[in-house]
Amino acid sequence: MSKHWIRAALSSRAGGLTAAAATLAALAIAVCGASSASGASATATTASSMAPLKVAFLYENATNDLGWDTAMYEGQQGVEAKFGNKIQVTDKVVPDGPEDVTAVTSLVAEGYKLIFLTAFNQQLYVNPAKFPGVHIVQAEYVGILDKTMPSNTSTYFTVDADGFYLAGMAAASVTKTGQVGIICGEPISDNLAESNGFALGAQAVNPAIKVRFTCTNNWDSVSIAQNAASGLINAGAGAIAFLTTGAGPGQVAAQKGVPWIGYQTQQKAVGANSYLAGVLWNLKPLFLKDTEQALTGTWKSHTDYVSMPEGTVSFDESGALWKDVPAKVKAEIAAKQKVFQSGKESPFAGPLYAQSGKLISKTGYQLDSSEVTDMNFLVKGVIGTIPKSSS
Amino acid sequence: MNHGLVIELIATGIFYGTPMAIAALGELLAERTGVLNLGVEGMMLMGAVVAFWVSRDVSGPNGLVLIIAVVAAAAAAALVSLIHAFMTITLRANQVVSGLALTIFAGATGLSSYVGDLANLGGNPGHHIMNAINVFGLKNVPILGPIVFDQPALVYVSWVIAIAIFWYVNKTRQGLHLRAVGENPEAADAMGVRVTHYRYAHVLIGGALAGVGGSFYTLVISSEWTDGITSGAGWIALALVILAFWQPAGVLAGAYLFGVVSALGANLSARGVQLPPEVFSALPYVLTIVVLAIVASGWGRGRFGAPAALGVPYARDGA
Repeated sequence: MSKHWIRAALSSRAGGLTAAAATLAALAIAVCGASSASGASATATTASSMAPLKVAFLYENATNDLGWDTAMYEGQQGVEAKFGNKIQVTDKVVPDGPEDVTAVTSLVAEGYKLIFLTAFNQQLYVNPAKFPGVHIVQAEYVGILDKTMPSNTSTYFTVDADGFYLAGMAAASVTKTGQVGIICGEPISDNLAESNGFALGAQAVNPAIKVRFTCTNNWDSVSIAQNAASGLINAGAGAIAFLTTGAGPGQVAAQKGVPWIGYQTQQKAVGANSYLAGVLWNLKPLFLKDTEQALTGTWKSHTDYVSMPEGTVSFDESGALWKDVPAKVKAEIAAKQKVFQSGKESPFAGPLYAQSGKLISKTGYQLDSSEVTDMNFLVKGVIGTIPKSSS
Repeated sequence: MNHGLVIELIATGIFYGTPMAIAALGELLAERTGVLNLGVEGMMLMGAVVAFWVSRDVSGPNGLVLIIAVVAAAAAAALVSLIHAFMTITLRANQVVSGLALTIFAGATGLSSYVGDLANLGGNPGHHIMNAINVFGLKNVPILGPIVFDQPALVYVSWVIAIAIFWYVNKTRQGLHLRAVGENPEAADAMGVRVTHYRYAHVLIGGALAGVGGSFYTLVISSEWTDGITSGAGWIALALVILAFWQPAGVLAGAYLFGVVSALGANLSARGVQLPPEVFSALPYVLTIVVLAIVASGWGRGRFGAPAALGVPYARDGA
């Protein structure tokens, strides 16, 4: 599990000075948060037993980022729509850091019983064991603060390599250059698994396809992501996908008339003319389950690896360029999607070779979800290197 | 590396360097009067969010809406810079503290994000986008075409601004006064130059230009608004002013250099040559440190130095 530390170490999302400024800002927020907590805890004790369940969502970035946080926020909206006045929902955006603890502490003091920690890095600061009696749902909990998951904690991993496998099939079938490309945000296991799924899908349609891989080491900068997109297209990629936040690369692809794959949320509006397909997330089923169980008093700690079988990942075929996918490939994609949805097959079926040619798994063996979420290699045939900082 | 790629790199370098260049040109003016404004990032974000708001909600001919958006961005950011001007010029507060406070107040977790939420700007693309202009139909001229004649209007505006600032600072009477205010406000004051007026005016112009730079992100680069979309460009702009030895031509050159190097890194990576990305993100600051070392040396001080009164509040009679 040590690789997950990398994600933590790489988590600084902007320049050092910005981080310094953010820390100052955070201090200010922390002070405000603390004062509001003391006021609210007094009122919480007066609430009657019939009071609605208090549910909180903690975000790391703005919920309008057209990426991870937007996907999570759509899950929150689903919860609000389903349970209406049975629950009372609040959400907070808290920049990464110790102020996560302040935020959770004040939420607990205000009587929130179900708290969704939607960002990976929040587990670096918040130890759920310190909040007994509160249900905490932490995205991708890997036991950094304590080796075993506390009994009041649940977690989930969105393993969407299956979606990217289908996207790779579509991309390989429409590229006019015999090449496709994918932009990784940071070389964490999630992004490597997604990139590998994309490559394997492309190779399934065209074994001679060139798959280019590039890493920005930056989730959020639109200009860096767009430069990466231009770089891939200049190098010859005739269709691109990306794993960075927001849809900046899609816009560049659209300007250059190159087909592109959307990610996490519906992004096609930024470059509809050359939008091909999307790998979309739907976290509602997960969040609804936790809320339902908390409401009925049946909540139990659980770990979910979710993807197409659970409906958490879906493949969006609404792109303007979808018509360019040959009928034969469309049928193959539909068939593969069915297999993925049934849960009978993962995109990582053996024989699986790493980029170096090393055999990862033999014929007949499939990587299980925990192996996929620990992935640290690129598959055979991918052009590009995992940046040094990942080692 | 082929010929076409070099041209492409220069063209993209200029494109992505422009917002930083415009903001840095504004900061240059403020610093030449002796006022350091570390709030560039916050002011850029205010410009970015307001420009996007206009582009989404104002309807009309594309060109007109875009002009309104840029002007609104400039006005919004100038308004934010007014806070800094009041704090540091009138109240003579510490410029570093006030500037940092400005970025926190207006920045990614502050006012710009609040405005974005209030107007519900997230998640929807704007309706007006500034595309490249094919100037005089020369876009397809070899070499110069893609670099010089196929850029969005704000790139040309930035060139006009740079030339205008050079001319203003070096060739006009007001420019002489401006330099006097930045180098020796006591002497300027004795000469009859209104130090406070000069400082206010140039901090406000600096703010307006930061806003224009910010608008580049939501009108040209991206057609969406997300919090903190400038992702540190304001800090690079601050570094650029130093790197350029407080000269407009240097600002443009530095901004384009960063743009080209960043594009080069992305293109190498796409071709399977991976250089550490940290090298590219650290480059502006590494170069800034080098320049600071030169400026601080005895040899460099007189030739290239910062305005002598930079960061020092001015009070007549030492009040």
